[in-house]
Amino acid sequence: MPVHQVPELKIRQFEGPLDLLFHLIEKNDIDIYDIPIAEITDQYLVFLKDMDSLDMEVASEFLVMAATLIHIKTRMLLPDRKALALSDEEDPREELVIRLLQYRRCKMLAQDLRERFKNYADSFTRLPATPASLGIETVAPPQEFDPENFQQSISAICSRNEVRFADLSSKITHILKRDKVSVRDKMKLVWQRILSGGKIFFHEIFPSNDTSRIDKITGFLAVLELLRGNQISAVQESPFDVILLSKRDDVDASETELLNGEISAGGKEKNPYGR
Amino acid sequence: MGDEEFNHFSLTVQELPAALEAVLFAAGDPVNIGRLQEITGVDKEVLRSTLSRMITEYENNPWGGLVIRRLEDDYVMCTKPHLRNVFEQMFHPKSRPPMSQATYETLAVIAYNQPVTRAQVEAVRGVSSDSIITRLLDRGWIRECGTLDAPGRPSLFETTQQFLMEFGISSVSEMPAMDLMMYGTIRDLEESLETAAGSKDTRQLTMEHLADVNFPPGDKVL
Repeated sequence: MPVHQVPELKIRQFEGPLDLLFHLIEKNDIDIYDIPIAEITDQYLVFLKDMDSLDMEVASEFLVMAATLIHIKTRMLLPDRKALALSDEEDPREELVIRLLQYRRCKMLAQDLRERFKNYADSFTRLPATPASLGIETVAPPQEFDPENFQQSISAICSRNEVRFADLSSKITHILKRDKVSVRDKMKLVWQRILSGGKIFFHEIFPSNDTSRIDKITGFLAVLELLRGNQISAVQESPFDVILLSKRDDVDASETELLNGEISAGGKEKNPYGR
Repeated sequence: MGDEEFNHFSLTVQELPAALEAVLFAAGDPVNIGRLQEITGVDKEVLRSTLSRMITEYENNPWGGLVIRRLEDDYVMCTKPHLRNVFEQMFHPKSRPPMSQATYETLAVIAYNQPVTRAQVEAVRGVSSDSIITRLLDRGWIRECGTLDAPGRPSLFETTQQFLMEFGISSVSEMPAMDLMMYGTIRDLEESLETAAGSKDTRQLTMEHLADVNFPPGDKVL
């Protein structure tokens, strides 16, 4: 085995242990399916020694990989693996190779995304037009309220609740399963999303169909709170149409930090909707 | 929306492209195919094929500065991406700080495996990815889409429409799951690569080969 020269690089340049390992493999032109573990481990440890002032969290990730490498190395050193009834395919390096291949693909796709972003990010759309902005007055269709439908819905809810609350165990599971979501957190979330895009649709606050009820309620209350604070405006062109939430023009974007304070001030310590 | 409502207004196939162009121009934002159906009174399948023809027409029109893009079930009209230099002259925008390699790596794991949890992202990258995920959320490229029914109820993440828009992707179905995550052994992996490549010697794998396994030809073309 030829002695490879250890590449001179600082560990800070690497995204993580896999990145470093991958770099060593490429640098030494090693067949990824047949890694000379002893050598790679040595080189890896040299790098680890060189890093003196890394924070604990990052360092620990690198150390875990070092331990894995040494573990693999010791397993490779076992004198007669066949005698120990290990079948050939159980190469101790296998798991590592799979992780490296995964990571390599991830890097490659990341590169692809980088290219795509460079190519596509600067495509512009017009600002969305509302009838008002086009100078069109719209006729609001009459509200349709079907008493029969309403009655049916009510009784459906009642019967569902009856079943649920009759059975104590299902009631308790139901309560225990519930997530705790505070209106304040939801407000922050909604506000951040409106700020980042300038506007969002109301239904986008509830991305999936199985949004939990508590999420729906807190999300709705958060929108109401933001409306009440004159932070946002909500526009719906016709009943049952989508609702567009946008930042009010007179609210300065620089008030972002201000709002954080405002929310906690409005929410107080004992937020009535807190839980 | 009852059918009777459409019957009295429906565009002919000849009128359709012009109408769609006008609607997309006026709307600005992405318009859902359902909404287009309401407006034109034309069947979704017909709309889809017309729009896909329009997309090609726009793309190949050397005189036009606009393109139509599909984002899942929405369609949007926007400027041709390569006109960036024109806008630079027009607005003199600040150059934006480049995204780190880590950001793209994390985004790649999420985009190709969605919905995913933080733990799954970390499993591929081998490092904690929390702060990057927060950055991606702020950037509007990913969003939370519920929780995994597992201990701790970890959040699941998926990409957004904004992501599709800014990365020139029409649908997340163009981004197949990273199959590598599902292989138990190298042998499984090699077998699937062999089937995909139709060759015997997969040891000589290059990055491109690996890419081809999961990119149908054409999708990778930018």
